[in-house]
Amino acid sequence: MSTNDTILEKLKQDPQFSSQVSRWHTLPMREGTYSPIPDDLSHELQGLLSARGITRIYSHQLAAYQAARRGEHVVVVTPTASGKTLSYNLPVVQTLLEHPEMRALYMFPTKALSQDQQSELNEIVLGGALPLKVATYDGDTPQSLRVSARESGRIVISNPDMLHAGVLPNHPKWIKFLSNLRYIVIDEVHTYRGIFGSHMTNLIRRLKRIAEFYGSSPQFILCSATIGNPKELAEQIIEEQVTLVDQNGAPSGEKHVVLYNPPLVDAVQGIRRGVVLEAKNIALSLLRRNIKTIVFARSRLRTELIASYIKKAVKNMYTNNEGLRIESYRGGYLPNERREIEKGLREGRIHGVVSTNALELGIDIGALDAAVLAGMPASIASIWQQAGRAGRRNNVSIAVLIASAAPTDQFLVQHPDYFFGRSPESAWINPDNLYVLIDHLKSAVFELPFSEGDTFGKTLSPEEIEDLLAYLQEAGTLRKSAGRWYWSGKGYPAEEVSLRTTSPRSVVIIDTTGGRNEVIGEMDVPSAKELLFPNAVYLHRDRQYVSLELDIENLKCYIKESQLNYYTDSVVKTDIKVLEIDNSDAYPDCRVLSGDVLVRSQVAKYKKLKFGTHENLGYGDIHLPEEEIHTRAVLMAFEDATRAAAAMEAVNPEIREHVIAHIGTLIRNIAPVFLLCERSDIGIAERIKDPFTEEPTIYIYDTAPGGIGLSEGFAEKRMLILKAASEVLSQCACEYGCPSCIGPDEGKTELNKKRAVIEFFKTWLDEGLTAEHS
Amino acid sequence: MAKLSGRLQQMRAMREAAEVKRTVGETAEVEGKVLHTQEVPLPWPGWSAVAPYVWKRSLTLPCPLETQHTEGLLLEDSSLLPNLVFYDFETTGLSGGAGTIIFLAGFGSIKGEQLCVEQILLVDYPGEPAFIRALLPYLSSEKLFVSYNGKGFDRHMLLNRLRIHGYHTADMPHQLDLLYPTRKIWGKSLKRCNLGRIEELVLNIHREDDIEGAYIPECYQEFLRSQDDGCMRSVVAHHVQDIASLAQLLFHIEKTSVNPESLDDEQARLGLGLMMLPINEARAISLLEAELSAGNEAAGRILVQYYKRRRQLTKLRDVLARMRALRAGYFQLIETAKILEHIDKQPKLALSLIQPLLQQRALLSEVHFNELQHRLRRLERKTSVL
Repeated sequence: MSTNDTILEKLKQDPQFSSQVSRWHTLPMREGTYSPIPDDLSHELQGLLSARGITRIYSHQLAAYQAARRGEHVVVVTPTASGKTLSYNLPVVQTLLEHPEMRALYMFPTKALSQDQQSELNEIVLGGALPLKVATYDGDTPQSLRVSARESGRIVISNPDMLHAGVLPNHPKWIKFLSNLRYIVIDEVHTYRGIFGSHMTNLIRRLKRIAEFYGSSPQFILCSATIGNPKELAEQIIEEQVTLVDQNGAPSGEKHVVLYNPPLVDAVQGIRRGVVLEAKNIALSLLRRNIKTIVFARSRLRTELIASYIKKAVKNMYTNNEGLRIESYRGGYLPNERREIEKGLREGRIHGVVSTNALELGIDIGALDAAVLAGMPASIASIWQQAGRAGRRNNVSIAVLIASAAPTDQFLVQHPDYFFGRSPESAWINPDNLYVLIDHLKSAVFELPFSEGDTFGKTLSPEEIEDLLAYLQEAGTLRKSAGRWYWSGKGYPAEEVSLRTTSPRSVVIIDTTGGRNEVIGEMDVPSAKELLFPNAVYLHRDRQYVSLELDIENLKCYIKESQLNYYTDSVVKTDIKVLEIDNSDAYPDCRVLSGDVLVRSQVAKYKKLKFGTHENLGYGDIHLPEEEIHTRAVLMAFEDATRAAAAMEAVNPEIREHVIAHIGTLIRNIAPVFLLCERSDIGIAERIKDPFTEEPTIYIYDTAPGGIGLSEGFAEKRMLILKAASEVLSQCACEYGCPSCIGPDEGKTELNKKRAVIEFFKTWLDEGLTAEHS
Repeated sequence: MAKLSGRLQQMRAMREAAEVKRTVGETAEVEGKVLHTQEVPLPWPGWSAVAPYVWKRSLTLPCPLETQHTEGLLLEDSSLLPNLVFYDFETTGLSGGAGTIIFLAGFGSIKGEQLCVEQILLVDYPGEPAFIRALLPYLSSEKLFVSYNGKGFDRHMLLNRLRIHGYHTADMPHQLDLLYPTRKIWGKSLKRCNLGRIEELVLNIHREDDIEGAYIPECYQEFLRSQDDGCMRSVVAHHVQDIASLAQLLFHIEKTSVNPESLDDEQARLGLGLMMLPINEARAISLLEAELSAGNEAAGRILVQYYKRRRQLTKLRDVLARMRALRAGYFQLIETAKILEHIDKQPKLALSLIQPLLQQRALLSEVHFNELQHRLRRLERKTSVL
C-alpha cells in the first residue's frame, strides 16, 4: 500500500468531499501484454532499443508493426502513456533503414507537438546513431534550414497547415521528398473532426494526387485517442481501407476516477458552487499531501485564476511556499517558458501545474499522480486524455472531474454509467462540404491541372468533379483549354483558406476606455453580431465593457469599460428556407426529414437582463446586416398521428410556443455530448407551425456553411440524444428551468413550463425507444 | 444527401444575386461566360509558331561597340561577352508556386554591334510542355545568365516548371543577378530599386505607354479569355525593353566602377565602394580613400573596418588621423583610443583622448554613452595602477 492509497482513503472518508461525489470508479491495475521484439528488426535498431532498456514491446506495438510491414494502412488507438510513438516509429525507421532513398512525413495537429516529437525521435529513438535525418518543417523553421529539410530530411515533421499552404503549392521544390514518400504518419487523428477533419480529407486527397504525379503511393499510419469510430474516421480521412489496432497492451497502475458535482447554492435557480474555487480546494488538498497534480481549466483566464489562487494559498516565505512550486501553462506563453515548465514537471521540480488543454495532447511532461478537471472538456475523448495525464505504470493515481453548471457537464456527472461505458462519441466530418471541397479543388488545380475524367477523392464521380470545375471556370478562377482545366485566378489559393475555421474573418475588439486604443481580443463575425452589437454589454476577463461601434466592414469593434447593472442577450431571428429534402422517414414519434436549407439570421433586438436576478429590464434595437448560410439540416416534424403530435396536443395552448422553444434549448444543450462538437457548431430553430412542414417542427442544422456532418450525426443518434435530454431534465434540481436544462423561465404565465416539457418528453419518447431499437 | 449539382445550382444563384448587387448602376458585364474557343490561334505577324500554342520571334536592337564596357568588375573581360544571356520571364502570378507558369521568355545575346533578342510566347496553357521544350536549347551550363532579381524569382520559376515537366535541373547556367550590385550602389539614395526606377533615374531610359508589371498577369488572362491582343502587345514590348535594359545596366555598372566621379551622389559612391570591396579591392580602396580625402567620414569608417581586419596598422592610423582632422567624432576617437590602449600600451593617452567626449553627452546614443563610461572606467583603473 503506497502513500497514495492512504491519502485516497482519507479523501473518501471526508464527508464534505464524498457527499458531492456522484461516482467513485476504480480501474484496477492492469498487467502489460508483451511481445518479443520482431526478428526482422535491424541490429542497429535492436541495439538502440536494448540500450534504452527495451527488450520486449507491447502487444499493440507489435500488431501495428506487423500490419504496417504487411503494407496495410493502420490506425492505432492508444490511451496516454501506452508507447504510441514506438507503434509508428518502429515500422517507419526499419523501412527507411532498409531503403536509403525512402522518406516519411509525420503530421501533428500543432507545432508544439511536432517539436516535442522531433526531440523524442532525435534523442530517444535514434540516439544519433542511425543515419536518418529528422527535420521539422513548420512556420517556425528558419529559411536557412528549409532547403536541407526538403533535400535531405528522411523524416519530415510538419502540420496540416504547412502542408496545405507551404508544401503542396510548392511541390516542385519537394520533388525528391515526394517522389520517395513511403510513409505518412498522422498523429492525434481524433482532433481532425468537424471542419478541421473535413479539410483534412481534402488535404490528403491533394497530397495523394501530387504523390501519384511523382510516382509514389505512400502508406498511412494513424494514431487516435479513444473515440467511438476510430476506424471509420481514419478511413474517411485517408479514403482507404484501414486496419484497426485497438488492443492496448500497456500496463497501467490502479486508477481512481471521481465524478464530483459542486454543492448547490441555490436549488431553485439551480446554481452550484463555482468550478474555480472547487478546483483550487481539491488541488490544494492533494498538493499539500505531496501528490503531484495537474489541473485542467477550460479557458486561459480560468487557468490564470486557479493558479494564482493556489499560489496565494501556499504563499509563505518562512516555509518557502510550503515547499511547493506551482506553475500555470497555456498557449500564448513563449516557447522557452513552456519548455522550462515541461522540463520542471518531468524532473519533479514543479509539483503542480494549472493548464488549458494545451497540455492535453502528447507533450511529454512525465507522469503525475493526480489530475483535477475544472469543468469537463468538450468531449469524452478529451476528458479521458486529460484524466490520463495522471497515472504511472506502477502507482495509484486519481482523477477528479469537477462538473460545471454547463448542461453537458451536468449530464455527465449525473450519468456516470454513460461516462464510464465505452465512449459513444463519434467524430463526424463531411469532406464533401461544398465550400471546403471547392476551396481545395482550387488549390488542387493550382498544384496540377485537371483533365477530363480525373477524380478527386473516392466519394465523388468524375462528372461531379467536372461540374465543380465548370463552376470555378465560370467564376474565372480556372481556364479550360483542350480538355484540361488550368489555374487562372490571381495569387495563391491556399493562402485564402484556413483549415481550422469556415469563416476566416474575425473582428478585432478594441478597448477605448480613457483614450486607450488597445486590442483585447478577437471574435468571428457571426458571433460578433450576436455579442458585440452596439450597446451590448461584453464581459472579458472579469471586466465589463459596453460596445460602442461594430464595424463589420473593417472588422473592428470599439468598446469601453462600463458599470451597468445589466447584461445583454441578443434575440436572433432565424429564418430557414428549405431548399431540397433528400430524405424523409415517418417514425412513430415524429417525422424526420433531412436536406439542404438556407438559414438567414438577423440579430434584430436585444434584451437587457439584470445581473443576479435575470430580470428583464427592456429591449433595444440592433441594426446589422443579416447572415446567410447554405447548410445541412435535420427536421423533426410533429406530424399528425405521431406521439409528438399527441404530446403537443396535451400542452396548454398558451405555453405551446414556450414548450417547443425549451425543447430546442435542451437539445442544443445536450447534443454536443453525442456529436463531439462545440455548442456553437449546431443551430436550433423551433417553429410552432412551420411553413414548410405545416406542423410544429424543430430544425437542427450545422452552423458551418455546407455542413460538417453534424445534422447527419444527429439523425443517427437522435433517440440517444432525446433520451439523454429527457433524463437531464427530470433529474435537474431546479424548479422552473435553469441554464443547465431547458434554460431559465422568462415567461409570464403561472404554468410551470419545466413540468410541461417533462410531460411532453414522457409522451414523446415513452414507447419510442423500444420500438426504434427493435 | 442532396445531389451535389443541386447545391451547386444554389451556390450559383447566390453568387449571381451577389453580383447583381455589386454591379447595380454599372453596365452589366458578360464576363464569366465561358468562351469555347478551342481553335489554336494563329501567330501575329513577325512571329512564327514553333509548336501549337507556342510562338517565337527574333529581334535585333542596336548595341554599339563603344557602349559595351567591360572593366573587369562583374565581367572578367570582354571575351565573356558572347557567353552572356540577358534573360527575363513574364509569369501568370507574382507569388510563385506550382500554379504559376511562365508564359513569356526572352533571351538576349550580343552579336557584334547588336543585341539579338528571342522571345517565346505561350498563347495557351496546353502548349506549356512544348513551351518548356523550346526553352531547353538556351539553358546551357556554359552560359552566364544575366537578370534582374533572377536569383530570387525567375530562376526558381524555371526550376519549378522544368521539374514539373520531368527534366533534370542539375546543369543550369550560372547566374549574374544585377539586382544585388544595383541595390548596393543606389539602394540608399533611391530607396526602392525596381528596374523601372533604375531606368528612369540611372540609365536615363524613359518608357512610353508602358504597362506596369503588376498588371501583366491579369493582362495575360484577359488575352486568353478574349484573344484580344491589344494589351498583350504592350506586354511583349515591355519585355523586350526589360532585356535591353539589362544589357545597358550591366555595362553602366562596369563603366561606373572605373569612373566613380560620374556618380553625383555621395551615398552612391560609398555604395559602389562597398559593393566593389569583395570583388575588386584595389578599385574599391582607391575610391574610398578619395572619398575620405574629399571629407566623407563614412568612407573613413569603412576603411577603418577594412584595415583593422587586414591588420594594416599604418594605414589604419593614417585613416584615423585624417578622420580626426575632419572632426573629433565618437567613432574616430574611440577607435584611436583602442589602438593606444591595446597596441601602444598608452592608457593615459587613450584616456585623455576620449575624456572630452563626456562633454558631448547630449549627442551620444545611450549605447555609445554606456560604452564610453565603461571604457573610461577601465582606463582609469589601468592608469591608477600605473
